[in-house]
Amino acid sequence: MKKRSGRRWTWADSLLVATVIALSVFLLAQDMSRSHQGHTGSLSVRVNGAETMRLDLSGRREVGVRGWQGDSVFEIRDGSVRMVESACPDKLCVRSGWISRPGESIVCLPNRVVLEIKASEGGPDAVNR
Amino acid sequence: MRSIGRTSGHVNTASGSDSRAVSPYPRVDLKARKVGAMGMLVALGLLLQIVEGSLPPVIPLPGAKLGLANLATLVALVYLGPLEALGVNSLRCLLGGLLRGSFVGLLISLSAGTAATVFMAALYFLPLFSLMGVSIAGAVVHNAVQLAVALWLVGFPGLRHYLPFLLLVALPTGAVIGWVATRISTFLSDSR
Repeated sequence: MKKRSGRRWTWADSLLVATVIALSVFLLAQDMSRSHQGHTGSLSVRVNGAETMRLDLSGRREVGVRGWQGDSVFEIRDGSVRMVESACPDKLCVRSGWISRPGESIVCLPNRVVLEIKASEGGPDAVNR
Repeated sequence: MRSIGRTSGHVNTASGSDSRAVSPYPRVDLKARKVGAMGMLVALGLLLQIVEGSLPPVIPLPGAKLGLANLATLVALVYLGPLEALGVNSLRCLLGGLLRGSFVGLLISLSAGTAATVFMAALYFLPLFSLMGVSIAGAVVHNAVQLAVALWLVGFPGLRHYLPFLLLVALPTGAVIGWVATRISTFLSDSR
């Protein structure tokens, strides 16, 4: 017994730790890649309360929409969205940066434009709400 | 070999002066000593569990804790044996669950603790792992089973994504507990 409990760190210990780290990294990577593959849902664009566009979030493009005061331009990039330009005085929507998760939104009050990411069915966040 | 302080007593060896190096105590006393040691370890584990519960959490993740009470189980595994370790752990989980008064918590800690102890006992008796490795493996198994049971009880599939974090957290906590257990066991065997 004495021998066993006094044993120093062994190669098997290192193997064990390495396996656990590898497994966690694998699981994390899987989760992340899944959340990037359209699992995030779609983008709902509303002007003055009415939905004018429903876009999916894959790929890279810039889309313009006519708002109350002028045009708003937003950029879609691999599952994330941000406002690039907006015809509003305060530019709060531009400064709010990127959104990517279901439920997040960018609101431009002066121009009455709302970008909101909607969860697709079956995603973990859809259950969460 | 597995009892604590075997060589310290010199009680009445009238039963035999042979060289088989068996315990000088009669059988009943040996059993009583074992039961006493187990009881002490259960109490210690319970105490550690309560102390840990009243401290602020080290790692801000629910379900991730240091697992101080696992020290008692490890010492039982080293000095008493696998079945005794299982007994110490189950009793500690039961009593701790009763003290906290949450049935779900009891179910989770008992199942995770039992799985971890069985796994640790198996690894410990392989000639491969150090006590620290055994402790880390136990922490990993504990956290995984804990999450599995929670998933089964709560039924919220999103909880699954929490697994890699719990696994990673088990590495440092298991290492710390394993290190302390190693120190305790070398101290105990030196002080014989």
